[in-house]
Amino acid sequence: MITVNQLSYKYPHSHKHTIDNLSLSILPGRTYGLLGANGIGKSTLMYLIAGLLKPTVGTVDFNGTSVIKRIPSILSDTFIVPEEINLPHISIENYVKHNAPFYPRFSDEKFREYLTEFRLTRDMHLGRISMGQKKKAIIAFALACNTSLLLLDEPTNGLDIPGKSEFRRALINSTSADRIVIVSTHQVRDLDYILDAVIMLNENGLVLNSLLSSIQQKFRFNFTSDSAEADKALWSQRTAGGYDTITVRNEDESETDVNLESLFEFAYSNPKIFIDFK
Amino acid sequence: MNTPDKFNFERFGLATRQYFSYNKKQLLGGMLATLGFLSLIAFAIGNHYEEQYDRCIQNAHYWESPETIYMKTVEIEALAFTCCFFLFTVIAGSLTFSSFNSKKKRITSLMQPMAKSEMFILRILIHTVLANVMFIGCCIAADVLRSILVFGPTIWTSHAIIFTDKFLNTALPIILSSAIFGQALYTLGAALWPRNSFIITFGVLFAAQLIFIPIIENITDLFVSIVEFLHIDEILAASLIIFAMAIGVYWLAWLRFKRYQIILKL
Repeated sequence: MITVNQLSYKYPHSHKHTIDNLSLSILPGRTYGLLGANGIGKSTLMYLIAGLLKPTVGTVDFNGTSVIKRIPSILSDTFIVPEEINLPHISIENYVKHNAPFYPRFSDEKFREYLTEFRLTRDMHLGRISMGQKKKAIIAFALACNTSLLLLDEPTNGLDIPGKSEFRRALINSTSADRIVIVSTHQVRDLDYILDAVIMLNENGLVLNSLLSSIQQKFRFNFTSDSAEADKALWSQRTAGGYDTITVRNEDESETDVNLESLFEFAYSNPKIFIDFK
Repeated sequence: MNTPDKFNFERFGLATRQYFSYNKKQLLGGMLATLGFLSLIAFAIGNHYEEQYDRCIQNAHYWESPETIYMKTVEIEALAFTCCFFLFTVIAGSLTFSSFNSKKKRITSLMQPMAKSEMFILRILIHTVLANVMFIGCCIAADVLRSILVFGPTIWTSHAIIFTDKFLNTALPIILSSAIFGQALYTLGAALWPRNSFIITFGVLFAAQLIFIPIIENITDLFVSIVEFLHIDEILAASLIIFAMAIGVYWLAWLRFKRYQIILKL
């Protein structure tokens, strides 16, 4: 479990805090989507959770240990795939040979499966493949490490369309009851059907930290071509052919899938609705 | 493998193999470049004195003996190599934290599941101890190549023993300790400014010496007085003090390294 307590962070030479008095809990067994506008602090929050930045104020604990200490037992149970990756100029085989021993739960069998899924081979040289292929290689390794905490910062950037599907399948196959996965992205469509929960930030801090199932119980996400129906909705947005709408769900109504884009726009424009929403 | 949180030799060994695997081209290239550079210097010196030697052999009344010319060859070469040693050690020191010279690299390096002490000691051992040993090996190789391909004895032949003996007994301790101290300063500079480390450290030290030279002069006078009073060997005492200062500077580098984040603040 990750406990973020009154966390604030200000970059050097910056006048304001990028993260300001943020408190939340992140529970295992879930894949979280970390959503927010550009520059709002998604990557900063990920770096703070990974212990790569020291908070100005507040604490981040992972399973009761402060992450800023960066002790090996925590590091070997954490993996971050940053937006811009840095890989050595060696083969995938050698990369695994030199890095897998640092992760006690690394599974070579799983790594082979993910490589196959991503259409990569072990003899490929990391210095000679495309950026998208490098990203797939590091994601395959990250998933195979079976760490309790996996942080993915804009993982689908640079992936082609088949690559995004491959990523979704691989991520779904890698989930477990003791694992926390946090995926930071502004391309919410790439995360369709893989998220269990969302954490949403705006310039004032935390807007939403909730299970998608809780949101599904409270709201219905619809599409309608009827403008009158759209006007009656809690929230609506014009799209090609009609309107995306969000309405309050009645108990006798069936649940709908969460439209993450609509949820994002709705939460941004109505943050007060989500205060105390769990 | 369990994950101990303190320094672990097994993990240190894994990290060392990883470091060499990642950087083998750069390390090999650096070694070959060092050997090439030193060989060029040795060959140039050898060529110069070979001409003098030939003139000496042809002219019985030449003002220098062949043995003197031999000695000069190795003396000048040793002096040139010593100057190169000082330059090499500071360059090697300034590269100690090159794997932290960008945010991208710092993310990868800092997330490596190792103790901070392991990360630090690994880099110090490679960029100081190993690099210095490698340099000395290249000096020996360049010296031997010169004697085989160009002219003159190696530093280790009997003609040079007298010179070598004097050199080892007097100059070597102070040379080594001074070079290690300079290397320590540039290692500290690399810890403070991993990017463009050599230039920034050089600039800072150049400015600092303007302030510290008067202080150092006073301390040197005090040191000489104490050494004379205690009747101890000046060279040895100075070497030990300089070496102790180098250890202190490495300690400062460690304190800085321990606080590394992906955004470096002074």
